[in-house]
Formats: sequence, C-alpha cells, structure tokens
Amino acid sequence: MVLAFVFTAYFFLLTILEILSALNLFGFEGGMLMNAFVLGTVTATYLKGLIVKKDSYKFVASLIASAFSTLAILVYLASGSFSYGIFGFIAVPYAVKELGNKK
Amino acid sequence: MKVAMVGNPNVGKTSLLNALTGGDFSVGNFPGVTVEKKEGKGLIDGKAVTFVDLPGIYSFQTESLDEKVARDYLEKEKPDLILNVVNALNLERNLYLTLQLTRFGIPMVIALNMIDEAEKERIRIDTKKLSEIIGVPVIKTSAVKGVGIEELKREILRGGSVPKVFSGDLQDIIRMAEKIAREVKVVEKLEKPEIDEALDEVFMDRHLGIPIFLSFMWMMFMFTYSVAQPLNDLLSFCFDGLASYVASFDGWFFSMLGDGVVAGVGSVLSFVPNIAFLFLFLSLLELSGYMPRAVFLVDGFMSRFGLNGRSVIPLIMGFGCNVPAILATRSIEDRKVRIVTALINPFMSCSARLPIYVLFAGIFFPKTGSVVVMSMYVIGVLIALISALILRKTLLKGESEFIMELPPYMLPNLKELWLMTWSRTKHFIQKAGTVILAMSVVVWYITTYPGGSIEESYAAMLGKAIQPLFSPMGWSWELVLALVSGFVAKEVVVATIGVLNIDVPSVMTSYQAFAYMLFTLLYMPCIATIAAIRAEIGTRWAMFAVLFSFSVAYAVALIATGVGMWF
Repeated sequence: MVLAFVFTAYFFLLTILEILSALNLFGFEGGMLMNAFVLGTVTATYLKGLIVKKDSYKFVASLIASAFSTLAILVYLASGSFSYGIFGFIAVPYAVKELGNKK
Repeated sequence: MKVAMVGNPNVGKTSLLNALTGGDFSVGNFPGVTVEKKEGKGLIDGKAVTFVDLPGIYSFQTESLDEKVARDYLEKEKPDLILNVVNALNLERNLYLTLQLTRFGIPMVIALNMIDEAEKERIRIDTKKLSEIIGVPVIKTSAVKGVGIEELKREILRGGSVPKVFSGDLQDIIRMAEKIAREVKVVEKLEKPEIDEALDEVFMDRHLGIPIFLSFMWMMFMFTYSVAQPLNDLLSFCFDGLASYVASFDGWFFSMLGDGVVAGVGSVLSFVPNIAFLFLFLSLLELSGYMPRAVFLVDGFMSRFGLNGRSVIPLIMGFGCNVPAILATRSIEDRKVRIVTALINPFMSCSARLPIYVLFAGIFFPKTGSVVVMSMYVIGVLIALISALILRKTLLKGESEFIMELPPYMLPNLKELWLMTWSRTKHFIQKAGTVILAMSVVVWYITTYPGGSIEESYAAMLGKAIQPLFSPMGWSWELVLALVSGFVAKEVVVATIGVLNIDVPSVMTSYQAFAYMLFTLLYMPCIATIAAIRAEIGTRWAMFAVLFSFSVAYAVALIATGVGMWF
C-alpha cells in the first residue's frame, strides 16, 4: 500500500511537470500533452489500485510506466526530445520482480 | 499429396504450416488473420506435400464467406487429407468443427496444437481415447516450440484415417462434442494464470481500458516517428547523394537513373525504418494477445456507429495495408456491416501514407511531428466512424452483433515477431522495386519531355489543367500532379515530390501542408484497394467508394484551409 501511494504521488508529480513543460509555464519547456496523458493514465491506474486495494493495478501500471520510460529514453537518444516519462524507470524493478512472481 | 488445414480461428494453423514447411507465412495471435486459402509446399522424407491453409472457422452453420471458402474447397477439390488443427486449450468448442468435418468422408489427422499452453494450465488430454472415439490419429503439437512436428509429419505421410461419421443437427453436435471433451479431458486447475488475470483486470477495466489503449497507440507513434527518424534521415541523405552523383553524368540514361529511378525510389525507401517500426509495434501488440482485448474493449463503442467488433479487425489491419484489410471483411457475417466496413476502410491510414505525413510533418511541424502524424490517424478513424454512421442510417440500415474469443497472453516469440514484421515490410519494399520504380520513370519522362524543362513538360500541362480544381486550397500544380500520381500507389506522392525536386516550404504554408496531408489521408483509394473493393462488394460500391472518399477529402481539405487562414 505504501509503495502504491508513493508511486501514485511520484507519477502525479511527473504528469504535472510534463503538463507545465508542454504549456511552457514557469520556465518549463519541451514537454508534450500526449506524454502527459500517458503519465496521467499511469497515475490513474496506481490510484485505482490504491482505492480498490488490488496489486494487479500496481503491477500493470508499473509495466506501462517501464515501457513508456524505455521509449522516452530511446526518443531522447534519437531526437533529443525530452519527456519526464524517462523518470518512470523507477517502476522497472517492481515490474520485473512481479513479472517473475506471477509467471 | 494435398493436405487441407482446417480449424477454428487463432488455433495456430499458419504457425503449424510454417513449422511443417519451413515457410514464412504471416501469423497473428488475433482471430481472422487468414481470410483466403494459402498454399505452402514442403518435402517430407523426400515426398512433395502441398498444404492448403483454409480460413479459420467455427462451424459450417453460418453464411460467412470464409466458411464458404472452406466448405467449397473440401467439397470440390477433395484433398487427400484433412489436417484438423485443434486448440488444446478449448477442446469442446474446437470439437464442434471436428465432428462436422467427419461428414466429408476425407481421411483426417488431428493436431492437438498449443499443447504447451494447455499443460501450463494443467489441462491433460487423453489423445489415445480421443483417437479411438473419432477414429483418426491425434498428435500433440506446439507449432511455436516445434513439439510433435516430426510425429505429425509421419502421420501425414501415412495418410491418416477416414473418421467415424457424426451426424445430427447443431444441438446434437454440440452435445456430442461436450460429451467427448468430458471423457478425454482432465483439468487440474481451472483458474487463469495469475499474470493473465492481472493484465485482463486492468486492460479491460471499465474506466482505464480506453486510456490505456490510447496510451499504447501514442507509444506506437512515438516509436514509429521519433525513434526511427535518425535512420530515415541517414537513408534520405544517402539516396539524395547517390541521385545527384548518378545524374551528374551526361546523357538521358543517367538523368533517368539519377533524377528518376534513384530520386523516386530512394525517396520512398528512406521511409522503410518508419514502416518497419510501425509493423514491429503492431506485431508485438498482436502476438502478445493485447489486440483482441482492444477490439473487445471498443466493441460497445463501435456498435454506436452501426458496426461491431468484427469490423475492428479489418479496420486495424487497414493501418498496415487496405487491400488485405478489405479481404479480411470476409469474416463478417452480416452483409451490410461487411459493405460498410469495406467502404470506410480506405479512411484508415495505411502505411503507404506514412511517408507523406513524415515528410510534411518534418518540414512544417518539426517539434510536434508525432502529434501531427497521430492526428492524421485519429482524424481518419473519426471520418471512418462518422461515414459508417451515415451509411448505416441511410443506405445500409440494420443491426448486428458478434462473438469473439480472447486468446491467452503470450510473450511474443522473437522468430514469429521477426517473420510478421518482415513479411509486411517486404511488401512495401517490393512495391518500391516495381510499381514505384515504374512510376518514377513515367514521372521523370513526363517532367523532362517534350521541352527539356519541367515548365515545358507534359507534367506541367497535366498539372496546370487540373490545378484550378485545387486553387481554393492554394496548392501548386506540382503538388497537384503528385496527388494524381498517388492514385497508382500512395507512396508515389513522395516519389513524385522527389523526382520533381519540389522545394516544399517555398510553395506552401503550414496550414496548407496540413490540408494537403488531410487530403492524401482521405482522397480516393489506390488502384489496388479499388480493385479489392470491387472484387469483394461489387463495381457499384467501388465507384461509390471513389466518389465518396474524393468528396469527403475535398470538403475536409477546404475546411482545414479555411480554418487555417483565420490564424
């Protein structure tokens, strides 16, 4: 539960930062609203898991966050375009651990 | 020896065909991938065997076209053997078809496929007992892992056995299938694997399912546009250099080779990385088992537009190429839904249109390229749905429903992923080497003769004659000519821009470019697609598709230009 709460708060913060940078507010720049949408979806998935008290939501949200983070890193390397989605790598260890447990 | 492969959709017939013949037929973890019979030849112990992969069907009861294809083949061609591919995970449902197949009186072998997945779910099947009941050999196989393939080959060479005949109406057949399944199957654990359960719970969630689907779609466009871009730029640079080098030699031949062939074909081949990345992502979604969930998820939404879940499969296939997508409408039983799905399919942005978007987005929208490219796909889907609604409320009224099986999730096998991506990308490259090459030479000729310069060429005459029609949008005759050539194949639009060496930023503004992209998204389908529509639903509807799509494209481009001028 604590982890789900931490992830929800963390991804919520990333969503806000991505929105601010997409709208060029408060000195942030370079983000995209569609990236914010993905981060928002991840946040909402963690949040629902917290509300219904089910680990499956935390697991799937971590998988999506890991995939998006990998992609954001590739985009950064290929085109230099930055997204706060890169910091979703924090969910990778949990996703990998759960993937091993559920197999 | 001729062997007909028959089974339910998504039981791995094509994978088994690949395993038996060493072929590279495209497969999918997605019902309805095979819509026409396909042939594969192989040698088994030196003996030539022709395998015919028939479309996946559930029974011989309904009127769908794929069932007709399968029934006609078995009745008229009389193959030497039926290889009935059965999904070990869902024995009861697959046995309905098996029992109906016994009526043809053709020797049969049953391949109990996906046995590895069944064993994972602790499903045990007594093949000896099943073989005794039906009277034919039953072999456990896993096409993906190569299990039982050699034994299956031996049984095929032996020629199988003529099965006992099971007769009765559909209700009798269903009862018999259930009884047989109860006798031969033991399930030690009924529940779904924990991982499947967790994924399904979230992916099919009432509130989160659609946002997650849209997130995956966005990731697909990031992958296709942004990640592939450096490779695209590199190829573009190489082909431009090669074209200039070849054209620098004296004589018409080098001019044709450099300015025509290399510039035209090269400008299209530069987009191979984008196309390959798009197909890689789509194949990943398909093979993992996520795509049917997405289809299921949007079924309720589709029904509001008079379509059903079965329409979604051809529509998603349309993102690759509209021609096989229109053939895939055969699996739709309701004729009116089938016609509507075929008519709106060209609005789904096929891969041939991607190079046009990437080219214009790169020039006019460098920072928001992915968003602009994705907006083309979204607008295409919206126009398709609105058109479906209009057609279902007017010319093709009616209601429909559908049943779809959700396959288990699978970690995609790298070989299958590669085969699927490559077989689709290969089609694009082959087109570049044939149709586009020929068209590049034609475009080079009409832009060089009779006067020697573009201004005094046949192309200028043609472009200038048609251009007034597009003057409200402010497109130059060169851009109009590129649209005309795109009628042959959409990639030719980019090839023509390459051959004409158009300095795009100097001839149009960003909103005109956006309108141009919209027009290429929506205007008349390419010749191959029109031929497919004509073959599937008739000449009248094919003509309707051409006029309808052109009218829609013109109206949308005009509106986009008008709105753009306000800003």
